[in-house]
Amino acid sequence: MSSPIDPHWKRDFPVRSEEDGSVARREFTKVLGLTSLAFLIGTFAAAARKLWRNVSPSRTAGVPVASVTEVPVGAYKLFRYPTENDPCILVRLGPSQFVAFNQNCTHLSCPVHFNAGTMQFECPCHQGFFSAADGRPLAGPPRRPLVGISVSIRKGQVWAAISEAQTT
Amino acid sequence: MIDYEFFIDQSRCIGCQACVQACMECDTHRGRSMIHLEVIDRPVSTQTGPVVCMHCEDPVCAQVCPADAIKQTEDGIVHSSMKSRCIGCSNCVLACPFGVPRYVASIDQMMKCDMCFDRTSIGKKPMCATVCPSQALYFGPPAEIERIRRERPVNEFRFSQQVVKTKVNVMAGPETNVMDFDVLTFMSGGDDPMNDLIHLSVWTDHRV
Repeated sequence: MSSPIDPHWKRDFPVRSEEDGSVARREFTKVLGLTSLAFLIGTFAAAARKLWRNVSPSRTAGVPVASVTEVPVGAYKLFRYPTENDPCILVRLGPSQFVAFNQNCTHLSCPVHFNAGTMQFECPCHQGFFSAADGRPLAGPPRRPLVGISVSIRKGQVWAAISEAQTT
Repeated sequence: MIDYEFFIDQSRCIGCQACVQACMECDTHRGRSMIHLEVIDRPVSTQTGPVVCMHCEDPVCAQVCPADAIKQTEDGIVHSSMKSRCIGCSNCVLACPFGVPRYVASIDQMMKCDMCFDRTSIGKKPMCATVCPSQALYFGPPAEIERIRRERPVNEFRFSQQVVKTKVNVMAGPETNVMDFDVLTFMSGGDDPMNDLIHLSVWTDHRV
């Protein structure tokens, strides 16, 4: 029987087996089973949430970013969307072709710059290159495309919008 | 079965070795008896005495084990050494006041009586108690032993300063509440015939 004044090795190695801290096989199996069950439920919950989003896509209204005349072909404009902490870049590729992307490089989140000569986005940090047309990575460390912002033109204004599924 | 207790009455032992043979047949330690049948003083007496583990409330054998190999379960049973842990140091053999644990050199491990844990844990009596013809070894309810015997069960032992309380009872005289042993007297030598007793029971194995 160990008492509080016993040296700690006696508490670590008690004579009585019920004071032993070692985990019995049954307890270990129980913990293992319950943990797997929790993971399973979590996975299904996440999947169900995703499915629910797909079934009812609710698009946000979006914000006006610039007027069509403000950005000439081959030029760009920086804006922040959906929050002040999300730098984005709007590029006019053609007379009626606007694209917008989150400015964060998908490698290590440096801001990408637009190169009108090559029609590419360049990341100066590690020489990452992205296609300006669709944001897919062309060269360098990044492997994922830039996060796209959907753009629409309404009444001479360029509107940026992001679907709710993209925010998560 | 939880209120069943073990009672030893050494004076009823007839030395038939039935308990030893029965213990040997157990599958968990086949061929080796965990009960010691001690010969008390053969030149002057035919008295023998069976020794099973007394299952101390605070087992000294387990306290001195450096390898944490001896464990006491909730029911108070002090188990034999664990094969994977026992280092064969014989600390328990020397520490036990009843001389119960034995070091078995062939397997480099201590082995001792565990009150037939495989049997008592499922409600059966220990093997030795079932075969003892004179009921020197008795396993049953305390009320029953009080009814059929005039001796009093004692489970407290004093070895000089050390008080040991045990799960197993020893039948003693009607006035006895505690078994008192003056260890120093045994160790000092002299003509006291009890010296032979302590020498025989501690240092030699009289199993035939």
